[in-house]
Amino acid sequence: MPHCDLDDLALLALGEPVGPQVSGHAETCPICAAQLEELREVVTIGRASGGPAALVEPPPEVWERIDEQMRSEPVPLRPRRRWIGVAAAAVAGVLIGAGTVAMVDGQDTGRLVASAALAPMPEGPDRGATAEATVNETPEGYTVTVTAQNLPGADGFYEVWLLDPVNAGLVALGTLSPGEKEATFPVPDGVDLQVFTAVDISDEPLDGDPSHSKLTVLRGTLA
Amino acid sequence: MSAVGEVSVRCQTRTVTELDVSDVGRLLAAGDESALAEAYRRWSRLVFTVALRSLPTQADAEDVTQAVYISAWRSRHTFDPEQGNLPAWLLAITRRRIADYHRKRRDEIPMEALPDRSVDPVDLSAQISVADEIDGLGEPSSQIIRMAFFDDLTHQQIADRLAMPLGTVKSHIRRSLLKMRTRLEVTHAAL
Repeated sequence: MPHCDLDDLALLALGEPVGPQVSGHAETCPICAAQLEELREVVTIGRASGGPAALVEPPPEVWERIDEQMRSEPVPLRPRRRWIGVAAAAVAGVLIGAGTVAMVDGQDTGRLVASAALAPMPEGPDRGATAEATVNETPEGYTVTVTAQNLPGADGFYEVWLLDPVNAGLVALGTLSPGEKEATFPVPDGVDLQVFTAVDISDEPLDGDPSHSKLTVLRGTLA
Repeated sequence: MSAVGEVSVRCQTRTVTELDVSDVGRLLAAGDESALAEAYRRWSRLVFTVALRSLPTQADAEDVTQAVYISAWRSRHTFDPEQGNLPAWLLAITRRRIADYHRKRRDEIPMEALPDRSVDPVDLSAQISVADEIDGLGEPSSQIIRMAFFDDLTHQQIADRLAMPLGTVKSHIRRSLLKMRTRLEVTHAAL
């Protein structure tokens, strides 16, 4: 017999009889059985959900508060748009002397706008390491450079984050390879550095979970 | 909210009403404020219902809902409209804000004051996502599914009541179940 019609599998999933030939095939054919299983899960979850009647509308004040909060936020320190950066880079050589712009190997590392000394957390592990984080404004946007001293091997790997301490928001910047003492990460477009005011280095287990492990090794507030 | 703000949100909402889910996500990622208002209009019930079922009081659920949308706005650049699904992403943020709440209050609130935690948060998110999907199916699909799920009617009985051909009812059921299956997949992928 050919594979079951999806209409029939849907009815079977709902618990309706569809005739012995169809239900017999659905039980013995692994492809149809797998599809039926998935549809049954949908039906089970759907029935347990209570349907649209279960959804509760938040009171109107909630949106009013969100709207108010969005409007009262400080003007974000946005990374410059790329095209402005390109224009600025074109004139930089003419207009700007050595003073504020650092050059390393002919590469523009940008203008230092904030820095932080990173230290172990009061309740976290102390591995005897320290680090410094600097935020630079470059023609391409902001970057964060982390320079670590005495950082021993991680249990998994070290990941560098920007942290919004008020809302516990996190933006992953990248990883520090084993033995790496210095790394520079671009700050993703649109990350507001008035909100994400701390730099955090965590030890991430190799478990495939991209979220923060809660194992902060070093942290510091940008100033 | 100022009167001007109110009017502008309404107007913008009207202009984006026809957008599909991925368009709202794309606009939000691009920093369009009206997309946040639209995301609130469409999915605040999803977020609020999950929060209500996970937190001790309505006030807590309101605070978490507010925090979810503020987080979504602040981290909009981390949403990848090509990879992700906006309501699933909002639910993932909701779970994080709920977890923050529990972490902060762990020592302050006696366990018995918390709602029944026997429901796994992933199961809860899956259920409320499916409820939201049924709500968004459009008619007559939504009604047909509600009759099949909650009134325990057979497709024959549904066809009789709605005076619809049997085949039409069957295909509405099939299409709707497949949509719900997809919604469950993206919800699970995001959590």
